Amino acid sequence: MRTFEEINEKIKNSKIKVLTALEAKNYIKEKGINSFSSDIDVVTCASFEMHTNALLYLSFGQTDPMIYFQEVSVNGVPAYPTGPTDIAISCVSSSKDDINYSGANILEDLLLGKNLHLKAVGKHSGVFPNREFETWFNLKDVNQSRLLLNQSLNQNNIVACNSSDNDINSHMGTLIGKLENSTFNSSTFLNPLINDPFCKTIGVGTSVWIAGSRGVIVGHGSSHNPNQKRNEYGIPVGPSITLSSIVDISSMNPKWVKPGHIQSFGPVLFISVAIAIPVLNKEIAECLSITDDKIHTTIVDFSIPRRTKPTFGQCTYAELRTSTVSINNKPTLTAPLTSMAYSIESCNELKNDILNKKFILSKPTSEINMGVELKKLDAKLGELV
Amino acid sequence: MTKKSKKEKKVELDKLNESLSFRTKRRVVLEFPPNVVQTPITYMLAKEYDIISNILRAEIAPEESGKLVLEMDGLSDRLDEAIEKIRGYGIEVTEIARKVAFDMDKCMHCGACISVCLAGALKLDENYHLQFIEPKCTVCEMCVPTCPVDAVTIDI
Ligand code: SF4
Ligand code: SF4
Repeated sequence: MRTFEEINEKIKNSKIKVLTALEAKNYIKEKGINSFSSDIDVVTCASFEMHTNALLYLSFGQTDPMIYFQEVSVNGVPAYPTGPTDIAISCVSSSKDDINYSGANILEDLLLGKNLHLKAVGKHSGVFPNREFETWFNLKDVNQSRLLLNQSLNQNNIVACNSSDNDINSHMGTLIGKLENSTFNSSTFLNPLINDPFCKTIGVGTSVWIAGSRGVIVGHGSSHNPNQKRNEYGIPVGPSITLSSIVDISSMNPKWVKPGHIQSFGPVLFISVAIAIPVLNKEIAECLSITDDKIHTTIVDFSIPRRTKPTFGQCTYAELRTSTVSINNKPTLTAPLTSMAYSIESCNELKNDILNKKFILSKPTSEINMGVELKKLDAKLGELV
Repeated sequence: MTKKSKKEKKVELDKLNESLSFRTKRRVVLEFPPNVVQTPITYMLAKEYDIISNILRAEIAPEESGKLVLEMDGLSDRLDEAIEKIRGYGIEVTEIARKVAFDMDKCMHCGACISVCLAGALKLDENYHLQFIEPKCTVCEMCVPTCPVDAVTIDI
Protein backbone atom coordinates (compact mmCIF):
# COMPACT_ATOMS: atom_id res chain seq x y z
CA MET A 1 0.00 0.00 0.00
CA ARG A 2 2.28 2.82 1.25
CA THR A 3 5.69 3.07 2.85
CA PHE A 4 7.14 5.71 5.16
CA GLU A 5 9.43 6.79 2.31
CA GLU A 6 6.52 7.31 -0.08
CA ILE A 7 4.62 9.31 2.52
CA ASN A 8 7.59 11.60 3.20
CA GLU A 9 8.06 12.03 -0.56
CA LYS A 10 4.41 13.13 -0.81
CA ILE A 11 4.94 15.62 2.04
CA LYS A 12 7.89 17.11 0.13
CA ASN A 13 5.85 17.33 -3.09
CA SER A 14 2.80 18.85 -1.36
CA LYS A 15 0.74 15.81 -2.39
CA ILE A 16 0.10 14.52 1.10
CA LYS A 17 -3.46 13.69 2.19
CA VAL A 18 -3.65 14.14 5.93
CA LEU A 19 -6.62 14.10 8.31
CA THR A 20 -6.93 14.56 12.05
CA ALA A 21 -8.22 11.59 14.05
CA LEU A 22 -11.57 13.34 14.44
CA GLU A 23 -11.84 13.97 10.69
CA ALA A 24 -10.72 10.40 9.96
CA LYS A 25 -13.63 8.91 11.98
CA ASN A 26 -16.12 11.08 10.10
CA TYR A 27 -14.50 10.24 6.76
CA ILE A 28 -14.71 6.50 7.43
CA LYS A 29 -18.32 6.83 8.56
CA GLU A 30 -19.25 8.68 5.36
CA LYS A 31 -17.11 7.09 2.68
CA GLY A 32 -16.12 3.73 4.13
CA ILE A 33 -12.87 2.10 5.06
CA ASN A 34 -11.79 1.20 1.50
CA SER A 35 -11.91 4.73 0.21
CA PHE A 36 -10.19 5.89 3.40
CA SER A 37 -7.29 3.46 3.13
CA SER A 38 -6.75 4.19 -0.55
CA ASP A 39 -7.07 8.01 -0.35
CA ILE A 40 -5.63 9.06 3.01
CA ASP A 41 -1.91 8.87 3.78
CA VAL A 42 -1.61 10.08 7.36
CA VAL A 43 -3.82 10.60 10.43
CA THR A 44 -2.76 12.91 13.27
CA CYS A 45 -3.59 11.77 16.82
CA ALA A 46 -2.99 13.66 20.05
CA SER A 47 -3.47 13.84 23.77
CA PHE A 48 -3.43 16.88 26.03
CA GLU A 49 -3.24 15.44 29.49
CA MET A 50 -1.60 15.70 32.86
CA HIS A 51 1.99 14.52 33.31
CA THR A 52 3.95 13.84 36.46
CA ASN A 53 6.87 11.95 34.91
CA ALA A 54 8.48 15.02 33.41
CA LEU A 55 12.13 15.97 33.77
CA LEU A 56 13.66 19.15 32.45
CA TYR A 57 17.34 18.94 31.54
CA LEU A 58 19.36 22.14 31.19
CA SER A 59 22.99 22.31 30.11
CA PHE A 60 24.84 25.56 30.84
CA GLY A 61 28.25 26.82 29.78
CA GLN A 62 31.16 26.95 32.21
CA THR A 63 31.68 29.86 34.65
CA ASP A 64 34.97 31.68 35.29
CA PRO A 65 36.54 30.56 37.59
CA MET A 66 35.12 27.14 36.82
CA ILE A 67 32.40 25.49 38.90
CA TYR A 68 31.29 21.93 39.60
CA PHE A 69 27.65 22.17 40.68
CA GLN A 70 26.89 20.64 44.03
CA GLU A 71 23.66 22.31 45.06
CA VAL A 72 21.53 24.23 42.59
CA SER A 73 18.17 25.93 42.55
CA VAL A 74 16.24 27.74 39.81
CA ASN A 75 13.70 30.30 41.01
CA GLY A 76 13.82 28.47 44.34
CA VAL A 77 13.03 25.04 42.81
CA PRO A 78 15.72 22.51 43.77
CA ALA A 79 17.64 21.14 40.77
CA TYR A 80 19.85 18.03 40.62
CA PRO A 81 23.39 18.52 39.32
CA THR A 82 24.15 16.03 36.54
CA GLY A 83 27.63 17.21 35.61
CA PRO A 84 29.83 20.26 36.19
CA THR A 85 27.27 22.73 34.77
CA ASP A 86 24.24 20.58 33.92
CA ILE A 87 21.08 20.22 35.94
CA ALA A 88 17.86 18.22 35.92
CA ILE A 89 14.65 19.66 37.34
CA SER A 90 11.58 17.62 38.06
CA CYS A 91 8.45 19.33 36.75
CA VAL A 92 6.61 18.18 39.87
CA SER A 93 8.98 19.61 42.49
CA SER A 94 8.02 22.89 44.10
CA SER A 95 9.96 25.96 45.07
CA LYS A 96 11.05 26.12 48.71
CA ASP A 97 9.52 29.58 49.02
CA ASP A 98 6.28 29.08 47.12
CA ILE A 99 4.67 25.65 46.84
CA ASN A 100 2.59 26.90 43.91
CA TYR A 101 5.71 27.47 41.80
CA SER A 102 7.01 24.23 40.30
CA GLY A 103 9.40 22.83 37.72
CA ALA A 104 6.46 22.97 35.27
CA ASN A 105 6.33 26.75 35.85
CA ILE A 106 10.06 26.92 35.04
CA LEU A 107 9.38 25.21 31.71
CA GLU A 108 6.58 27.67 30.94
CA ASP A 109 8.66 30.69 32.00
CA LEU A 110 11.57 29.56 29.81
CA LEU A 111 9.23 29.27 26.82
CA LEU A 112 7.82 32.72 27.56
CA GLY A 113 11.36 34.11 27.36
CA LYS A 114 11.44 35.14 31.03
CA ASN A 115 14.61 35.53 33.08
CA LEU A 116 15.08 32.96 35.83
CA HIS A 117 17.26 33.05 38.91
CA LEU A 118 20.01 30.42 39.10
CA LYS A 119 21.76 29.87 42.40
CA ALA A 120 24.57 27.34 42.73
CA VAL A 121 27.04 26.08 45.31
CA GLY A 122 30.20 24.52 43.87
CA LYS A 123 32.15 21.47 45.03
CA HIS A 124 35.26 23.62 45.40
CA SER A 125 38.16 21.51 44.12
CA GLY A 126 41.48 22.42 42.52
CA VAL A 127 40.16 22.54 38.97
CA PHE A 128 36.71 23.85 39.93
CA PRO A 129 37.41 26.46 42.61
CA ASN A 130 34.14 28.41 42.23
CA ARG A 131 32.28 28.06 45.53
CA GLU A 132 29.20 30.16 44.94
CA PHE A 133 27.53 31.41 41.82
CA GLU A 134 24.38 33.37 41.09
CA THR A 135 22.91 34.70 37.86
CA TRP A 136 19.79 35.43 35.85
CA PHE A 137 19.31 33.44 32.67
CA ASN A 138 16.73 32.80 29.97
CA LEU A 139 16.27 30.10 27.33
CA LYS A 140 18.77 31.79 24.97
CA ASP A 141 21.57 31.48 27.56
CA VAL A 142 21.32 27.69 27.77
CA ASN A 143 23.35 25.34 25.55
CA GLN A 144 20.74 22.60 25.54
CA SER A 145 17.30 22.33 27.04
CA ARG A 146 15.47 19.06 26.84
CA LEU A 147 12.38 17.55 28.34
CA LEU A 148 12.07 13.88 29.15
CA LEU A 149 8.46 12.74 29.37
CA ASN A 150 8.71 9.24 30.70
CA GLN A 151 5.00 8.68 30.22
CA SER A 152 4.49 10.90 27.20
CA LEU A 153 1.62 8.73 26.03
CA ASN A 154 -0.68 6.43 27.92
CA GLN A 155 -2.67 3.90 26.00
CA ASN A 156 -5.62 3.89 28.35
CA ASN A 157 -6.54 4.84 31.87
CA ILE A 158 -9.18 4.03 34.47
CA VAL A 159 -12.36 5.56 35.84
CA ALA A 160 -11.86 6.70 39.44
CA CYS A 161 -14.66 6.71 42.01
CA ASN A 162 -15.01 6.51 45.77
CA SER A 163 -17.45 4.34 47.73
CA SER A 164 -16.31 5.51 51.18
CA ASP A 165 -18.17 8.07 53.29
CA ASN A 166 -15.61 10.83 52.91
CA ASP A 167 -14.37 12.79 49.93
CA ILE A 168 -10.91 11.95 48.61
CA ASN A 169 -8.61 14.39 46.86
CA SER A 170 -6.65 12.30 44.40
CA HIS A 171 -4.57 12.75 41.26
CA MET A 172 -7.83 11.85 39.50
CA GLY A 173 -9.52 14.93 40.98
CA THR A 174 -11.87 15.29 43.94
CA LEU A 175 -13.79 12.06 44.39
CA ILE A 176 -16.95 12.64 46.35
CA GLY A 177 -17.88 9.84 48.76
CA LYS A 178 -20.76 7.36 48.32
CA LEU A 179 -20.11 7.16 44.55
CA GLU A 180 -21.45 10.67 43.93
CA ASN A 181 -18.99 11.31 41.12
CA SER A 182 -16.24 9.77 39.03
CA THR A 183 -13.51 10.91 36.68
CA PHE A 184 -11.78 9.45 33.63
CA ASN A 185 -8.59 10.54 31.98
CA SER A 186 -7.88 9.75 28.34
CA SER A 187 -8.16 11.39 24.95
CA THR A 188 -9.66 8.03 23.85
CA PHE A 189 -10.44 8.04 20.10
CA LEU A 190 -7.86 10.80 19.53
CA ASN A 191 -5.09 8.98 21.42
CA PRO A 192 -2.25 7.67 19.18
CA LEU A 193 -1.99 4.41 21.13
CA ILE A 194 -5.73 3.75 20.81
CA ASN A 195 -5.47 4.30 17.05
CA ASP A 196 -2.44 2.01 16.80
CA PRO A 197 -3.15 -0.37 19.69
CA PHE A 198 -0.38 -2.87 18.93
CA CYS A 199 2.26 -0.27 17.95
CA LYS A 200 2.42 -1.43 14.33
CA THR A 201 3.63 2.00 13.14
CA ILE A 202 4.95 3.50 16.38
CA GLY A 203 8.31 2.40 17.77
CA VAL A 204 11.66 3.52 19.09
CA GLY A 205 12.75 6.42 16.90
CA THR A 206 9.26 7.54 15.88
CA SER A 207 8.93 11.31 15.58
CA VAL A 208 6.59 12.80 18.14
CA TRP A 209 5.16 16.31 18.19
CA ILE A 210 5.37 17.73 21.70
CA ALA A 211 3.98 21.23 22.20
CA GLY A 212 5.08 22.21 18.69
CA SER A 213 8.57 20.75 18.88
CA ARG A 214 9.72 17.57 17.16
CA GLY A 215 10.88 14.95 19.62
CA VAL A 216 11.58 11.27 19.49
CA ILE A 217 10.24 8.17 21.19
CA VAL A 218 13.02 6.44 23.10
CA GLY A 219 11.16 3.34 24.24
CA HIS A 220 8.47 2.18 26.60
CA GLY A 221 7.75 4.43 29.56
CA SER A 222 6.78 4.38 33.23
CA SER A 223 4.22 1.75 34.27
CA HIS A 224 4.33 0.15 30.80
CA ASN A 225 2.10 -2.90 31.06
CA PRO A 226 1.64 -4.49 27.63
CA ASN A 227 0.07 -7.59 29.20
CA GLN A 228 -3.10 -5.75 30.18
CA LYS A 229 -6.27 -7.58 29.18
CA ARG A 230 -7.69 -6.39 25.85
CA ASN A 231 -11.26 -6.22 24.61
CA GLU A 232 -12.51 -7.77 21.35
CA TYR A 233 -11.27 -4.73 19.39
CA GLY A 234 -7.74 -5.12 20.71
CA ILE A 235 -8.00 -2.18 23.09
CA PRO A 236 -6.64 -2.72 26.62
CA VAL A 237 -9.30 -2.30 29.31
CA GLY A 238 -7.03 -0.29 31.61
CA PRO A 239 -3.55 1.28 31.70
CA SER A 240 -1.30 -0.56 29.26
CA ILE A 241 1.38 0.63 26.83
CA THR A 242 3.20 3.84 27.76
CA LEU A 243 5.87 5.62 25.73
CA SER A 244 8.87 7.63 26.82
CA SER A 245 9.96 10.63 24.73
CA ILE A 246 12.70 13.22 24.65
CA VAL A 247 12.25 16.60 23.06
CA ASP A 248 14.16 19.85 22.66
CA ILE A 249 12.14 22.60 24.34
CA SER A 250 13.66 25.53 22.45
CA SER A 251 11.11 25.41 19.63
CA MET A 252 8.08 24.65 21.79
CA ASN A 253 4.99 26.83 21.73
CA PRO A 254 3.99 27.88 25.29
CA LYS A 255 0.35 27.63 24.23
CA TRP A 256 0.56 23.85 24.64
CA VAL A 257 2.30 23.88 28.01
CA LYS A 258 0.28 24.51 31.16
CA PRO A 259 1.65 24.15 34.66
CA GLY A 260 -1.14 22.90 36.91
CA HIS A 261 -1.79 22.11 40.52
CA ILE A 262 -3.97 19.26 41.74
CA GLN A 263 -5.58 19.80 45.12
CA SER A 264 -3.82 17.86 47.93
CA PHE A 265 -1.61 16.20 45.33
CA GLY A 266 0.75 18.85 44.04
CA PRO A 267 2.17 20.26 40.83
CA VAL A 268 1.64 18.60 37.47
CA LEU A 269 2.42 19.48 33.87
CA PHE A 270 -0.21 19.59 31.16
CA ILE A 271 1.43 19.25 27.76
CA SER A 272 0.33 18.32 24.28
CA VAL A 273 1.72 15.19 22.64
CA ALA A 274 0.82 14.15 19.09
CA ILE A 275 1.85 11.44 16.64
CA ALA A 276 1.20 11.12 12.92
CA ILE A 277 0.08 7.59 12.08
CA PRO A 278 0.81 6.51 8.50
CA VAL A 279 -1.99 4.55 6.82
CA LEU A 280 0.48 1.88 5.66
CA ASN A 281 -2.14 -0.78 4.90
CA LYS A 282 -5.75 -1.85 5.32
CA GLU A 283 -5.08 -3.34 8.75
CA ILE A 284 -3.87 0.01 10.08
CA ALA A 285 -6.83 1.73 8.43
CA GLU A 286 -9.14 -0.63 10.36
CA CYS A 287 -7.41 0.29 13.62
CA LEU A 288 -7.88 3.99 12.82
CA SER A 289 -11.64 3.52 12.55
CA ILE A 290 -11.97 2.92 16.31
CA THR A 291 -14.61 4.98 18.13
CA ASP A 292 -15.49 5.53 21.80
CA ASP A 293 -18.19 2.81 21.88
CA LYS A 294 -15.46 0.24 21.21
CA ILE A 295 -13.03 1.49 23.85
CA HIS A 296 -13.52 0.02 27.31
CA THR A 297 -12.05 1.05 30.63
CA THR A 298 -12.19 -0.23 34.21
CA ILE A 299 -13.99 1.50 37.09
CA VAL A 300 -11.73 1.58 40.15
CA ASP A 301 -12.76 2.34 43.73
CA PHE A 302 -10.25 4.69 45.39
CA SER A 303 -11.68 4.20 48.89
CA ILE A 304 -8.89 1.76 49.74
CA PRO A 305 -5.46 3.38 49.38
CA ARG A 306 -3.65 0.18 48.37
CA ARG A 307 -1.86 -0.98 45.21
CA THR A 308 -4.65 -3.37 44.32
CA LYS A 309 -8.00 -1.63 44.53
CA PRO A 310 -11.51 -3.01 44.20
CA THR A 311 -13.18 -2.49 40.82
CA PHE A 312 -16.77 -2.04 39.68
CA GLY A 313 -16.44 -3.69 36.28
CA GLN A 314 -16.05 -2.00 32.93
CA CYS A 315 -17.76 0.57 30.76
CA THR A 316 -17.13 2.25 27.40
CA TYR A 317 -16.01 5.83 26.85
CA ALA A 318 -19.18 6.39 24.84
CA GLU A 319 -21.12 5.85 28.09
CA LEU A 320 -18.72 8.06 30.03
CA ARG A 321 -19.11 10.89 27.53
CA THR A 322 -22.83 11.07 28.33
CA SER A 323 -21.80 12.48 31.77
CA THR A 324 -23.59 9.73 33.69
CA VAL A 325 -22.34 6.23 34.23
CA SER A 326 -23.83 3.43 36.28
CA ILE A 327 -21.49 2.37 39.07
CA ASN A 328 -22.69 -0.40 41.35
CA ASN A 329 -26.18 0.26 39.92
CA LYS A 330 -26.04 3.89 40.92
CA PRO A 331 -26.19 6.60 38.24
CA THR A 332 -23.02 8.55 38.90
CA LEU A 333 -21.85 11.88 37.55
CA THR A 334 -18.70 11.46 35.49
CA ALA A 335 -16.34 13.95 33.85
CA PRO A 336 -13.06 13.88 31.95
CA LEU A 337 -9.69 15.22 33.08
CA THR A 338 -8.06 15.21 29.64
CA SER A 339 -8.82 18.18 27.45
CA MET A 340 -10.46 16.95 24.26
CA ALA A 341 -10.64 20.51 22.91
CA TYR A 342 -6.87 20.95 23.23
CA SER A 343 -6.24 17.42 21.91
CA ILE A 344 -8.28 18.19 18.79
CA GLU A 345 -6.45 21.49 18.33
CA SER A 346 -3.11 19.69 18.67
CA CYS A 347 -4.16 17.20 15.96
CA ASN A 348 -4.92 20.21 13.74
CA GLU A 349 -1.60 21.81 14.57
CA LEU A 350 0.36 18.68 13.62
CA LYS A 351 -1.73 18.32 10.46
CA ASN A 352 -0.80 21.87 9.46
CA ASP A 353 2.88 21.24 10.21
CA ILE A 354 2.76 18.23 7.88
CA LEU A 355 0.97 20.20 5.16
CA ASN A 356 3.56 22.96 5.55
CA LYS A 357 6.40 20.40 5.30
CA LYS A 358 7.57 21.25 8.80
CA PHE A 359 7.08 17.73 10.11
CA ILE A 360 8.09 14.51 8.38
CA LEU A 361 7.51 10.98 9.60
CA SER A 362 10.24 8.64 10.73
CA LYS A 363 10.32 4.90 10.51
CA PRO A 364 10.95 3.23 13.88
CA THR A 365 14.44 1.82 14.35
CA SER A 366 13.09 -0.91 16.59
CA GLU A 367 9.79 -2.09 18.04
CA ILE A 368 8.30 -1.17 21.41
CA ASN A 369 9.04 -3.95 23.88
CA MET A 370 5.75 -5.81 24.26
CA GLY A 371 7.15 -8.69 26.27
CA VAL A 372 8.05 -6.96 29.52
CA GLU A 373 6.18 -7.57 32.70
CA LEU A 374 5.20 -4.69 35.00
CA LYS A 375 7.21 -5.13 38.17
CA LYS A 376 6.13 -4.26 41.68
CA LEU A 377 8.27 -2.65 44.33
CA ASP A 378 8.07 -4.41 47.66
CA ALA A 379 9.82 -3.61 50.89
CA LYS A 380 12.67 -5.89 51.94
CA LEU A 381 13.53 -5.57 55.57
CA GLY A 382 16.75 -6.54 57.31
CA GLU A 383 20.07 -7.48 55.76
CA LEU A 384 20.33 -8.52 52.14
CA VAL A 385 21.52 -12.12 52.07
CA MET B 1 -27.04 19.06 65.74
CA THR B 2 -28.50 15.80 66.93
CA LYS B 3 -26.76 12.62 65.93
CA LYS B 4 -28.61 10.70 63.27
CA SER B 5 -28.44 7.01 62.62
CA LYS B 6 -26.82 5.76 59.41
CA LYS B 7 -30.19 4.71 58.05
CA GLU B 8 -31.78 8.06 58.75
CA LYS B 9 -28.84 9.74 57.10
CA LYS B 10 -29.17 7.49 54.04
CA VAL B 11 -32.87 8.30 53.72
CA GLU B 12 -32.02 11.96 53.98
CA LEU B 13 -29.34 11.65 51.35
CA ASP B 14 -31.69 9.90 48.97
CA LYS B 15 -34.25 12.61 49.54
CA LEU B 16 -31.58 15.12 48.85
CA ASN B 17 -30.62 13.49 45.58
CA GLU B 18 -34.23 13.27 44.57
CA SER B 19 -35.02 16.92 45.05
CA LEU B 20 -31.74 17.84 43.36
CA SER B 21 -31.28 20.56 45.93
CA PHE B 22 -27.80 20.42 47.31
CA ARG B 23 -26.13 22.16 50.16
CA THR B 24 -25.09 25.60 49.19
CA LYS B 25 -23.52 28.60 50.87
CA ARG B 26 -25.03 32.03 51.19
CA ARG B 27 -23.62 35.14 52.78
CA VAL B 28 -25.92 37.59 54.50
CA VAL B 29 -25.62 40.79 56.49
CA LEU B 30 -27.96 40.88 59.50
CA GLU B 31 -28.78 44.27 61.00
CA PHE B 32 -30.26 43.98 64.47
CA PRO B 33 -32.38 46.67 66.08
CA PRO B 34 -31.36 47.21 69.78
CA ASN B 35 -34.10 45.04 71.31
CA VAL B 36 -33.34 41.77 69.49
CA VAL B 37 -29.57 41.65 69.79
CA GLN B 38 -29.68 38.70 72.16
CA THR B 39 -31.55 36.40 69.76
CA PRO B 40 -29.46 33.20 69.42
CA ILE B 41 -29.65 33.11 65.64
CA THR B 42 -26.97 30.53 64.89
CA TYR B 43 -28.43 28.05 67.39
CA MET B 44 -31.87 28.45 65.87
CA LEU B 45 -30.48 28.02 62.33
CA ALA B 46 -28.72 24.80 63.25
CA LYS B 47 -31.56 23.33 65.26
CA GLU B 48 -34.53 24.23 63.12
CA TYR B 49 -33.08 24.49 59.61
CA ASP B 50 -29.97 22.29 59.65
CA ILE B 51 -27.89 25.27 58.62
CA ILE B 52 -24.25 25.56 59.61
CA SER B 53 -23.39 29.19 60.14
CA ASN B 54 -20.03 30.77 60.14
CA ILE B 55 -19.74 34.27 61.60
CA LEU B 56 -17.48 36.29 59.32
CA ARG B 57 -17.82 39.62 61.10
CA ALA B 58 -19.68 40.78 64.19
CA GLU B 59 -20.28 44.30 65.45
CA ILE B 60 -22.61 43.77 68.35
CA ALA B 61 -22.63 45.66 71.63
CA PRO B 62 -25.25 45.10 74.35
CA GLU B 63 -28.21 47.52 74.31
CA GLU B 64 -27.19 48.88 70.89
CA SER B 65 -28.04 47.99 67.32
CA GLY B 66 -25.64 45.52 65.78
CA LYS B 67 -24.41 43.98 62.57
CA LEU B 68 -23.48 40.42 61.77
CA VAL B 69 -21.99 39.03 58.57
CA LEU B 70 -22.91 35.39 58.37
CA GLU B 71 -22.14 32.56 55.99
CA MET B 72 -24.98 30.05 56.01
CA ASP B 73 -24.47 26.54 54.67
CA GLY B 74 -27.60 24.50 54.07
CA LEU B 75 -30.15 23.27 51.58
CA SER B 76 -31.32 25.98 49.28
CA ASP B 77 -35.05 25.98 50.22
CA ARG B 78 -34.25 25.71 53.93
CA LEU B 79 -32.05 28.77 53.55
CA ASP B 80 -34.95 30.71 52.07
CA GLU B 81 -37.21 29.67 54.94
CA ALA B 82 -34.58 30.57 57.53
CA ILE B 83 -34.07 34.03 56.07
CA GLU B 84 -37.82 34.65 56.27
CA LYS B 85 -37.80 33.51 59.88
CA ILE B 86 -34.93 35.88 60.74
CA ARG B 87 -36.79 38.74 59.09
CA GLY B 88 -39.75 37.86 61.32
CA TYR B 89 -37.67 38.85 64.35
CA GLY B 90 -37.43 42.36 62.95
CA ILE B 91 -33.89 41.81 61.75
CA GLU B 92 -32.95 43.30 58.42
CA VAL B 93 -31.37 40.71 56.09
CA THR B 94 -29.31 41.68 53.06
CA GLU B 95 -27.83 38.94 50.90
CA ILE B 96 -24.32 39.41 49.57
CA ALA B 97 -24.29 38.18 46.04
CA ARG B 98 -21.54 35.62 45.45
CA LYS B 99 -20.71 34.26 42.07
CA VAL B 100 -18.14 31.99 40.56
CA ALA B 101 -16.35 33.34 37.51
CA PHE B 102 -14.56 31.31 34.84
CA ASP B 103 -11.52 32.83 33.15
CA MET B 104 -11.93 31.36 29.69
CA ASP B 105 -8.46 32.51 28.59
CA LYS B 106 -6.95 30.31 31.27
CA CYS B 107 -9.40 27.42 30.94
CA MET B 108 -8.05 24.44 28.99
CA HIS B 109 -11.42 22.63 28.93
CA CYS B 110 -10.12 19.62 30.84
CA GLY B 111 -13.39 18.96 32.65
CA ALA B 112 -12.10 18.51 36.20
CA CYS B 113 -14.55 21.11 37.53
CA ILE B 114 -17.50 19.32 35.93
CA SER B 115 -16.84 16.24 38.05
CA VAL B 116 -17.61 18.08 41.31
CA CYS B 117 -20.55 20.14 40.07
CA LEU B 118 -23.41 18.07 41.44
CA ALA B 119 -25.82 20.88 40.60
CA GLY B 120 -25.22 20.26 36.88
CA ALA B 121 -24.15 23.82 36.10
CA LEU B 122 -21.08 22.72 34.17
CA LYS B 123 -20.78 20.61 31.05
CA LEU B 124 -18.88 20.25 27.81
CA ASP B 125 -20.57 21.41 24.63
CA GLU B 126 -20.47 19.38 21.39
CA ASN B 127 -17.00 20.81 20.62
CA TYR B 128 -15.74 19.74 24.04
CA HIS B 129 -15.57 23.31 25.35
CA LEU B 130 -16.56 24.09 28.92
CA GLN B 131 -20.01 25.56 29.29
CA PHE B 132 -21.22 27.30 32.47
CA ILE B 133 -24.98 27.29 32.90
CA GLU B 134 -25.14 30.00 35.53
CA PRO B 135 -28.83 29.75 36.52
CA LYS B 136 -28.16 26.21 37.76
CA CYS B 137 -25.15 27.27 39.87
CA THR B 138 -25.71 27.06 43.62
CA VAL B 139 -22.36 28.72 44.38
CA CYS B 140 -21.24 25.66 46.33
CA GLU B 141 -17.68 26.60 45.32
CA MET B 142 -16.56 22.99 44.87
CA CYS B 143 -15.17 23.81 41.43
CA VAL B 144 -12.86 26.55 42.70
CA PRO B 145 -10.09 24.44 44.29
CA THR B 146 -10.61 21.63 41.74
CA CYS B 147 -9.38 23.60 38.73
CA PRO B 148 -5.70 22.76 38.15
CA VAL B 149 -4.96 26.09 36.48
CA ASP B 150 -6.89 28.46 38.78
CA ALA B 151 -9.37 29.46 36.11
CA VAL B 152 -12.29 29.61 38.57
CA THR B 153 -12.55 32.41 41.11
CA ILE B 154 -15.17 33.73 43.51
CA ASP B 155 -16.64 37.11 42.77
CA ILE B 156 -18.26 38.98 45.64
S1 SF4 C 1 -20.04 26.80 42.36
FE1 SF4 C 1 -19.10 25.57 40.73
S2 SF4 C 1 -19.44 23.43 41.36
FE2 SF4 C 1 -20.83 24.70 42.60
S3 SF4 C 1 -22.73 24.72 41.43
FE3 SF4 C 1 -21.60 26.54 40.77
S4 SF4 C 1 -20.46 25.85 38.98
FE4 SF4 C 1 -21.16 24.00 40.03
S1 SF4 D 1 -11.13 22.62 35.73
FE1 SF4 D 1 -10.43 24.69 35.11
S2 SF4 D 1 -9.33 24.36 33.19
FE2 SF4 D 1 -10.52 22.50 33.55
S3 SF4 D 1 -12.44 22.86 32.43
FE3 SF4 D 1 -12.79 23.56 34.54
S4 SF4 D 1 -12.28 25.75 34.53
FE4 SF4 D 1 -11.44 24.87 32.65
